[in-house]
Order: sequence, then C-alpha cells, then structure tokens
Amino acid sequence: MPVNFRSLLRDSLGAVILGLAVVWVTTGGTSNPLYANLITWSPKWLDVRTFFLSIVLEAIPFVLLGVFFSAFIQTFVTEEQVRRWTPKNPFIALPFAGLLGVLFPVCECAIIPVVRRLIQKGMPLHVGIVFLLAGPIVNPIVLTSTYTAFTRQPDMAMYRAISALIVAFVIGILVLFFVKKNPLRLGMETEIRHEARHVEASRGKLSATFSHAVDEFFDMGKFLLFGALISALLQVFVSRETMLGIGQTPLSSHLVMMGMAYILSLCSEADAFIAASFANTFQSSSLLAFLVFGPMMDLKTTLLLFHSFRFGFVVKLILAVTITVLVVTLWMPV
Amino acid sequence: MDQNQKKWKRHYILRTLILSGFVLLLAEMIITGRLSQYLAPRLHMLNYVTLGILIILTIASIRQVIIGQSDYDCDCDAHKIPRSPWTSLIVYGLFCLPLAMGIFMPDKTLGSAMAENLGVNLLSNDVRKLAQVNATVPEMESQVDVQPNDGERIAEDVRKQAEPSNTSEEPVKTVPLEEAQIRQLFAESDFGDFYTDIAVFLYKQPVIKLDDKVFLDGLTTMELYAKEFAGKEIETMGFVYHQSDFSEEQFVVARFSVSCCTADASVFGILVEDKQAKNYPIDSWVKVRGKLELRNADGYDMLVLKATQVEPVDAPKDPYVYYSFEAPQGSE
Repeated sequence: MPVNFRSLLRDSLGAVILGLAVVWVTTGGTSNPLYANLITWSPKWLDVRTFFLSIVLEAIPFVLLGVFFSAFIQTFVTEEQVRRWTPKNPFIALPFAGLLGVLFPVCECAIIPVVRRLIQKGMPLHVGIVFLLAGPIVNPIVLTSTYTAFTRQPDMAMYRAISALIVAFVIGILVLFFVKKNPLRLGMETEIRHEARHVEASRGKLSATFSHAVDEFFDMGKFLLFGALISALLQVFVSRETMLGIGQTPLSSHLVMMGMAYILSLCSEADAFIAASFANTFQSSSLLAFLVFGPMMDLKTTLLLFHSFRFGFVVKLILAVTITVLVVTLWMPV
Repeated sequence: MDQNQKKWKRHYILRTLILSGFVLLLAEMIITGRLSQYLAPRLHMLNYVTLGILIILTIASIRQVIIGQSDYDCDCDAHKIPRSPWTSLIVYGLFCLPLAMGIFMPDKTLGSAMAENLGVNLLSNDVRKLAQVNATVPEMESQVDVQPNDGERIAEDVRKQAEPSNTSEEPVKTVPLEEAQIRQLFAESDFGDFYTDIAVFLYKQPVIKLDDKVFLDGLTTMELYAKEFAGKEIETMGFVYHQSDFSEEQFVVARFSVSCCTADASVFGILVEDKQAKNYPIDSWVKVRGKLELRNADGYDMLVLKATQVEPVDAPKDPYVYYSFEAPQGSE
C-alpha cells in the first residue's frame, strides 16, 4: 500500500509538472507570471542553469544519433558481418579502426553506444577501443574546427590527429596483450542473448527499434545529465583562474589542461576554440594535451563508460589513457 | 504478475510524461527563439531533427503504456528499469531537473560575473597583463613601435599616423590606398586568404564597423595585423565589463562568443579608454566609437580603443557572436 501511494505521488508530480509546462507554453514563456516575482534567483544559479541546459541541448541530438545508429546496427547488422569485415591481423585491424574514425564523423557522446554495440556484435575489443578513442578526434569535422580555431598554428590540427592516433594505437596494443576477460559489464552477456531473442522475434519491426531507443535514451540520458550538471556547477563556482593557478611547469600545466578538459566535458567539435583562448597562458603542447585528452576521456563519457564496461576496466583505461596522452604530448614537437 | 504489470506501466507513464516535457520545452524554445540563448545557430537545424525524434520516442512510449509489454513478454531483468523506488526517484528526478529549470527559472544571458570567471581575451593580449599596460602607459606614448619594417612603405605610413605624437585630431584616412595596395599590405604576413580578405574588407572602410557578423573574425584579424590597424577608426557594440585592476578610465566592450553551446563560451573584447569609463554600469550595452592605438605590453602588441563617443544602447536580441567560417560579403 505505501509503495502504491508513493508511486501515485510520483505520477501526480509528473502530471503537475507537465500541466505547468502547458500553462507556461501557452502564456508565452518569458512573460510568465509563474516565476515572475516568485523567487529571485541568484545570478550564479541562473548561470548554472544556462550552462546545464546548453550542454544538455547540445548533447541530446548526438546521444540520440548514437542511440539510433546503435539500434540500426542492432537490427540490421549481423554478428557474422561484423566478424567478416574486421581484419584478423591486429596490425591491420588497428589502422582499420583508425580509418573508421576518419570515415564516421561521430563525436564522443555518440560513439560509446555505437562501440558497445559493435563489441557486443563480436568486434574485437582492441579494435573497438581504438575506434572509441581516435574516432571523436580524427574525423574531418573536428579537424576543420581545430584548424579554424588555431589560425596562428595551422600545424595544430595535424599534431592533434597524429597524437590521437598514436595514443589510440598504444592503448589498442595494451588492450590486445593484457585484457583477456570480456570487459563488458556483468549482465551484459545475458542481455545480449536476451536482446538477440527480441531481435529474432522482431527483426525489421520498426516499433521494436523505437521501443529500444526509448529504453536506451533513458539509460544513457541519466549519465549525460549527471555529467552535465557537475560540469555546469564546476564552471560557475570554480573560476578558470583558480584552475590555471595550479601549475606552470610543463608537467603540471599539462595535467591542469587535461584536468580541465576532463571537467569541462566539451564536445570535440567545440573544444579547440576553448583551447585557443588559452594560447597566451599556456604553451602549445599543454593545449595539445587538452585537445587530445578531452574527447577521449571526460566527465560525461566516463559515466557512460561505467555503464557499458566493468568498473576495473574503465579505471585502468582512464589511467592508461592519461599516462599515454601525457607522454605523447610532452614528446610531440609542437 | 498483475502487480508486475502495474509497475511497468507506472514507469512507462512516467517516461511518457518526461519525454513529452522535453518535446514541449524544445518546441517552446524553437518557437520563441530562446534556443539561441543556448546554442549556436549552426546547431539549430540539428535540434529540429531532435524534436522530431523526441516526438517519435514519445509516441513509442505512449504505445508502450497502452500495449504494455507485449513485445517483451519475458520475465527477464535486462530491461533497465530502476529497481527500488529511491533509484527511480533519483533517475527520474535527474530527467525532471532540466525540465524544471527550463520552466521555473528565467533565462539569463551570460554577463560580467561569468566573464570574470572565464577570463577575457583582449586584442592580442591577456587581461591579466593589463597591470603592465597601466604601468607603462606614459612611456608608451612615445615608443609605439616605429621601427621601419624592411622598407615596407605603406605600412610605415600607416604606422606614422598611428603615432599618438602627431595630434590625434588629424583625420586618419589621408592616404587613399588602392584595393591592390591594401591587399599587398596584408598579403605579406601570410595568415591565409581568409584573413587577408577580411583585413582588406575592414581596412577599406573609413570607419570600421565591427558588427555582430564580423566581430570575432574582425578581432582576430586586427590582432594578426595589429600594426596595420593601429590608427584606424572603428565602431562597435558590446556589454561593459570592468575588472578590479582596471584604471578609472578603462573598461572593456565585450561579447561572448559561442561555437557550439553556451558552455563553450569565451569572452572577447576591446579595451576602451574613456574619461567616463566608471559611469557605465557593468553589463549594460554600449556603442563605442573611437580610434585604435597600439600599445606594447610584455612583448606583445596590443590595440586599445581611445573612445571619442560612447552611447548606451539596448541589448541585442541575440547577445552572442559566432565564428562565421566564411569571408564577409563585401558590398563595397
């Protein structure tokens, strides 16, 4: 009975919110009596709201894109096909994965559901990981925006692509040699078999694809929202000056820039503009670290990764990527 | 079984409500144009598609409510529905948060407080180095870079005018340059055709109008060709930004630039020198007209706008500026 009551409460709360939304839409938004003089929000919280909503609005299309692309793979690509297309020899397979990244312009929000699905379909893990890491950087859209942002250093885009590929290959090789266990989350196995049954039952049924998409939207969405919220809070309450003040030696400035890339969770299409705005403050190789690390690892994608892969694997992956990016960008002659 | 069925149904109802909330929020933002407070115009198209997809998902979700789980009639636990009431409260609460924020909190354009947090990019210099500018202003007047640059006559002429020593009342446009000459002036530095085009486009104007469309590219161009642009008159608009280490006669006329979403905003502006600087309230919008002067701070060239006219204006509908990725269509 109490359970029933609680859920009734939840439902009615949702209904009330929806009702208010309707009122608000019909009264034309800004001139709305609802919030007009109700509460005076502190400007900081309004800034949090602006950041939060804008990250969410920006990322949702790409998450949906990834969700649908993965639903598409799920419905139309068989495991047989994935196995056949992927080269057997790992040293051909790694460049092949890099090439995938060049061909498919997906950013870091969209790529995780896609890679997860491909791995479930039998793509070898090391190939999937290389695609996951390099994909959001080496594609033409991202490189064009990098080139635009760094007018004074046209080489930056090239260094960014090269470093990303090196890091991805190194991690791919490490994964090939050291990860023997399936790193997909516990329960994923049964889920795969389970989903396979659905697919058998409903192959080609559009409605089934959409129902799956709803499930996946709520699944991925919660991590995205959480990451966006944290990032918005940090951006408003911690000034960039503070973050920058931490380090000025090469090593510490690299770490600061990478930490910033991690927290800001920017889309890889946009981060070059932010990096360029630090050009007077940091040396170019720290900016490169920012540009390479951000799309590979950030707050919102970490949460998505935890959802798809085992805890231990994600932790090791983050460590390995951090160290490799650090070494590669320190060594790059930017 | 019946109990279970009910539980599923509740989740589906809740999801339907949330999805329709997102649809309404996005539709409202698109209709009222508030979307431009959050996203750059080039992403707007994508959001129309998103709206379509969200509507489809809402319909799919309504269908789930009505039909129940006939598609998935198995007892397995794989479909990810939160297990305890508390997890569902947190999960769905997280989804309600953007809806609640969108509905109950008013829009606010980013302003000075955030600008201070992010740091302001001035013409070719960092705002932190302002202290040095202030410190060296007196000598600066006499040492605006006048070393002739390997016999490049035109540029030198321009630079001579830029020298504040010849009384600044003198009109700037004295040397009427042919387009080809102007082009040559900028082509030498070789920052690519894009910036050469913009430089020529701006340089041709007797008073450079730095409007929303060319604001960012214009600033970048002037930064690249700081010496050439010194002495030119410009007119621009932006919000007033003060910082504690500014002198009483300084303020920055600034704009937020957005490349994808507001979260990647950065602040770009021009340092303005004006006797009345203190009287312009922060975050108010002003139109500034004046003459660019070259300063040297910490080894960098820096352009400062010596204001001749500052007038308060209304905030524009779209407060942000964007990179255009294409050269301005020079009408004249």
